Amino acid sequence: MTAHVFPSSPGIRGRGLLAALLVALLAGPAAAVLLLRDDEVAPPTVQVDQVDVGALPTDIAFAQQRAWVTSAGSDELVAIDDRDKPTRAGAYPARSGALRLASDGVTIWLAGAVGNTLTSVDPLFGREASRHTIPIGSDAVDVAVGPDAVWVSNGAAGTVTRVDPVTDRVVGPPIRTGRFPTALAVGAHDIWVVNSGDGTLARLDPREDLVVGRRVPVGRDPQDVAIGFGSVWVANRGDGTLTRIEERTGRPLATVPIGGAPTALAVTTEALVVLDSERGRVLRLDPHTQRVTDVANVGGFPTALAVGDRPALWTVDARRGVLTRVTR
Amino acid sequence: MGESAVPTSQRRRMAAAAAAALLAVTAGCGGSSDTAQQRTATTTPAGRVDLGVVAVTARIGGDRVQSSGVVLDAGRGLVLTTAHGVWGARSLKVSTGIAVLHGRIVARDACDDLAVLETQPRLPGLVAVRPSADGTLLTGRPIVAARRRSGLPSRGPELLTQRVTVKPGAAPALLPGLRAKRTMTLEGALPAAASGAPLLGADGRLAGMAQVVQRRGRTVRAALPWDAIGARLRELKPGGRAQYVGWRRHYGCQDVLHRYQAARHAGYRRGDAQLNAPVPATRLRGTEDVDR
Repeated sequence: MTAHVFPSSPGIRGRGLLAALLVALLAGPAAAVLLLRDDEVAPPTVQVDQVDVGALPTDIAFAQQRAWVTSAGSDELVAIDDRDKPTRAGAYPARSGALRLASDGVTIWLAGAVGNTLTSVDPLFGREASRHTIPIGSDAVDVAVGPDAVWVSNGAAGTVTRVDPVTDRVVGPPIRTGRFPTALAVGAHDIWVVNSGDGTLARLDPREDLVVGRRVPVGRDPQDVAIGFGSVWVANRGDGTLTRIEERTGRPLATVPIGGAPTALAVTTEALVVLDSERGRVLRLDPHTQRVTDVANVGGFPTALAVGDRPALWTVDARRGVLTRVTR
Repeated sequence: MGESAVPTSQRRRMAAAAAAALLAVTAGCGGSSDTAQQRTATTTPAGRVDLGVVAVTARIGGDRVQSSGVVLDAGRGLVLTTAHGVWGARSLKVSTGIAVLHGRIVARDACDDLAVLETQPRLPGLVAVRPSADGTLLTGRPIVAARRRSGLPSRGPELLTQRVTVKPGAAPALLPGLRAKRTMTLEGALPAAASGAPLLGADGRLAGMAQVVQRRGRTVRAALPWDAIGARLRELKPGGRAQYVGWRRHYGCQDVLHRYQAARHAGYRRGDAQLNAPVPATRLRGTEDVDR
């Protein structure tokens, strides 16, 4: 709290405020132009397209040249064609209350809190013979796909389960990674697991199914992890930051303040893209300078972010039930 | 830790803001995320209750245990329930008015039988039930206990309400060894699954919480008024990276809950109920303690 040594009288304070307002009105636009020219890069012009995808969409993945959206409010997996205007191509029965999904480009895997199972859907076969339910034995919180395995985080069990994508069966015993593992990402050599219950990041060696190295502390309420530019990035919703870790060594490099509630991450060829679900914004982080700029305001309560082929950024807004595509 | 771009003062401001937000919730200004689709529902008291009451399904030992809860902070996905309903849970599912979510315990008060859960992932649409102005349970006034069936929404009637009454005077302790100073005797045929159910006054606001345990073959019911709960919640603040802290002195009764769960649930392990104990990772033999 600031202590005023010489408190001003109301009259003097009122005149002071009036003068300050006048100065701000006269000098404000000029100062804004100067500041923008010197310090700010004007946000790029982007095109934003939206399409309805049903109640409470929660995640996006790409397979077979289509965007796929899962919904916690229905049992359907909605397919969106990536045309000049994104259009709804159909819906497939998938699983009830799916919260997260991942794809290897052909098959889609869905995880959720209804039942301790993972569901695989192969849309190549249309509505027939497309679904498999894989018992996991504990919670299926998030799912990620690697070259030869599907990985499922088990939440309260403190473990990650490995699933064979060919036989749709669990391989080996669950691997303990830390307290309440949630988000997962598959890197060049390792699987990176966010332990939300103890605020750490674990590195899992898929050749040995073992955690290697020390678990690295991250920020508060970590929600997502992504890998790009030689780094592992963790979105910390609780303190509005990103934690950057060197992928090769697992050494913490920096904590980048973003503000808002960074909830989801995606990697493009040029930058890391961050979704701020509190303010409904998509942000771009330059990995070299760590400078953050606005990309687009998608509004609502976006819960997932993905990079498409076009190239385009895709988000889902769980509040309005829409899928948003952002293109240049 | 490597270079940190967040100045200490900013970190303090963030922590203070988070603490202030939690206190605001407990003071009755809890966050709600009214959606466009659910605006109608959230403007009516019944709609707000429907989106603010949850069912909690815990796997304790080899058993599935059902209890109830109420949304405290929609933005942070915080839910209030009873500690004995989730003590030692190896899995927690929270059935809400919008979806079934995963749950994680972020704070427990064994002596007052309170627990705060956090839902994963964070979705819009939940609504915090507003506490009543005085936060007391008045005897002789109409009170309704609200709970939800577990499972996905829109599978039949989910919200169950039951009229209950509160008897004057303090109730005996729910379990021998638990604090009974503020609890009141609750009359009404509430089942064990209603433990943690919000007690709503005539204005539809939160006046307290039902606590129900099974003891020696009989059901013991009590009500904890909101002013007692609010006082406990005001002691909490974000701590460390993943939990809320401030309830350490209310852990003194944890042995009571350990004994209760061990007697009721085959396969219950004391280690499952330790929130802050480090989880050893699956590592190469001989390197298990690498994080210490």
